[in-house]
Amino acid sequence: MKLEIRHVTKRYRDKMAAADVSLTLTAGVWGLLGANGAGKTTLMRMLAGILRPTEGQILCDGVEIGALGAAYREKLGYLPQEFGFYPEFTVQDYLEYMAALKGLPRAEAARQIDALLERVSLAEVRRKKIVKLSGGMKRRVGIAQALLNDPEILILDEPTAGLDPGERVRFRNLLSEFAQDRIVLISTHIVSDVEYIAAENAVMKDGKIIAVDTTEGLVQQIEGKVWQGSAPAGELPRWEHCLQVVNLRNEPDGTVTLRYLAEAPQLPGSIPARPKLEDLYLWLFPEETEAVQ
Amino acid sequence: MNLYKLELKRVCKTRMTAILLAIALVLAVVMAYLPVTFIGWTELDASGNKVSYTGLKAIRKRQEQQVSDTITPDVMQEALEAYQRVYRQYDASSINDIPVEVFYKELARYQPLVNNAKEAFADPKTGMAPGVMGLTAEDMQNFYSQLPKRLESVIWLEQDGKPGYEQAQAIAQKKFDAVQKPFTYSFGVSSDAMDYQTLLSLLLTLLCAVIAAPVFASDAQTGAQDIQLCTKNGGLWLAAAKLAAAFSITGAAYLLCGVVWILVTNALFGWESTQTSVQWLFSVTSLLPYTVGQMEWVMLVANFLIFFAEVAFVLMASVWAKNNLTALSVALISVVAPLIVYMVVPGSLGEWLSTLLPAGGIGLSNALLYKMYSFDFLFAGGHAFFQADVLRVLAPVKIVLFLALAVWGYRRKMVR
Repeated sequence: MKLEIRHVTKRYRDKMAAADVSLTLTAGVWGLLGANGAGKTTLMRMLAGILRPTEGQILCDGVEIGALGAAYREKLGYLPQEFGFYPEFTVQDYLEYMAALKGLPRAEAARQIDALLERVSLAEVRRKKIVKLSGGMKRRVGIAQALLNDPEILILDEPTAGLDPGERVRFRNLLSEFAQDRIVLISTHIVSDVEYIAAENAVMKDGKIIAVDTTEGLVQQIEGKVWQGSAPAGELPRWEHCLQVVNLRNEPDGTVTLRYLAEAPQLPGSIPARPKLEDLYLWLFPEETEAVQ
Repeated sequence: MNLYKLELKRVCKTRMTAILLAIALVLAVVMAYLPVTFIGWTELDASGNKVSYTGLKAIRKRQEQQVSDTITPDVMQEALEAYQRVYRQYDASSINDIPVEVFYKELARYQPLVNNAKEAFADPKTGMAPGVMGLTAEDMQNFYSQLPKRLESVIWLEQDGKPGYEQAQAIAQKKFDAVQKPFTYSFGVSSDAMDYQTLLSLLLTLLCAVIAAPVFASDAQTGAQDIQLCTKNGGLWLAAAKLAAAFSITGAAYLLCGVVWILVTNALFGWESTQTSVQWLFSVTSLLPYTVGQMEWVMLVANFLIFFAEVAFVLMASVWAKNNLTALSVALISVVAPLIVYMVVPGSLGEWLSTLLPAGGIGLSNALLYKMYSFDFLFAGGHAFFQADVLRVLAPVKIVLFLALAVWGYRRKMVR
């Protein structure tokens, strides 16, 4: 199973959402990282077949996905960022409806729904209306519908938004099990989610893929650029202003420990820190740290 | 099939649909009952006091004084003679000069007959009807042979000078030839009741437009559509299931309410009155070859087709709309558009536009019922077309057109 994105561009009237993107997705979990507006959702919608590229092609095992039509959609599971559902539906109703849309025979659908509701811990609320569920539960219903047809290609746009830490761990484990011989593409802001399970990552910025590598390979790019040092609490505003701070922790002795990104140590006594994917993300998208500060 | 059932279940489970369908059913009963309250009867009791009734009791009183079912020239003459005798007795120049209890006792049973006779012998140049005393027994014997002449003058008064006038005359005469004569009459279902059937049709169309508007638009608004479109059956199969489910629910609701209205109306007014020729209710030269009972069903079926054309349009708008509000606004405006256009756009243009609009034939003064019993023609290229026929022929064309546009719109959505 191979999904090739060949020189794909998506142009709107006043914006280039994706610019000459080329990427080949093979079996395994792929992380798609990028700041808001980087073009992740546009790329995912094109991969899901609901948005046509302005230029370029997307091929599934060598065949253009538009030409495959229903045969491609049969292999696909998709969870968009905005998960729309019918408020009048219970969890069970909704999954039955989606199973029919995915062309599952009734008996298989019933079996699959039972199994998935157990996997995503929703079996007890299957008769509840979706509208009455918590945000995390609704997200899990969305994940369940994406997995209903046992898809060979699974595209998840911000799947962990709204999930609590325990739910995120269960979700990561579920995906890791599921990803055998399948393509799973996840976009997320929560970098740690893909750091643990993604075999490879693609990083998007301004509509372009700027890096593709394993988590380790990507992290190597900022080897020697992550530092940890401490400063008196009173000096914090000054350092926050001039450093790209990833994390800070108040210490009992009145100092603050800072983890920051820089070409060279800035704080006196700084020591190199072991880089993580999140550091790379913030190195590539400094506006994300600025937004926080 | 499974998808269709699930979509049916989905739409039926929405609270709004359940509430609207319940309202529709209540409306059907109310619209059938209200015209009953318009019927009145006054008589003198044993003490000589006036006693008035309305509603069902008044209907039964009037039915007790029934004239014979088939209105032959002799019955027409009997009616005129009764009127003239009472007029002379009270030296009356109009019906207002007759005591009300006398009117109900002596004349009410003959009222539609004499009124129609006056219409039949109206002045061909001015359309002014003669008074009761101006009619003769010979006129009554010639009542049916007078009708084609009266029809000719009506068409002349309304359509003379328009390109296609001659054709309009020919169409009208041909249609009237098909009307069975002598007419039949039995007191009961009134023209008011038929008006309420038309009003019910308008209200049902509004309610069902509200049900149909979100069918596709809500998926676009909530994002559910994105998930649906990338499933195996999320393309045209889903579109077909949604269209079929929307048509099934709105169609079943319309037919159920329409049938309930007919059954309740006829039960209240009396089933015998369904044998009355519609000419007694509307115009003596009305071109409709139906009894009241037949007319009720013809109206139900014809309005149903127009209703379906409007639902098809609303579903098409729902496919193209990006949110519920847009779809709902378009739906509601489209239902009332023919009425508004009919009222504000003068002349032939207004007639054509109100006919061609999706809900053409639904409304009040522009409604199909009035086009059926009136003498309105549409003219184009020197040809005349009976407007009620155009409305009925166009409805299936509109259904196919709007459904095709809905499917085309959905196909465009499948890959943007």
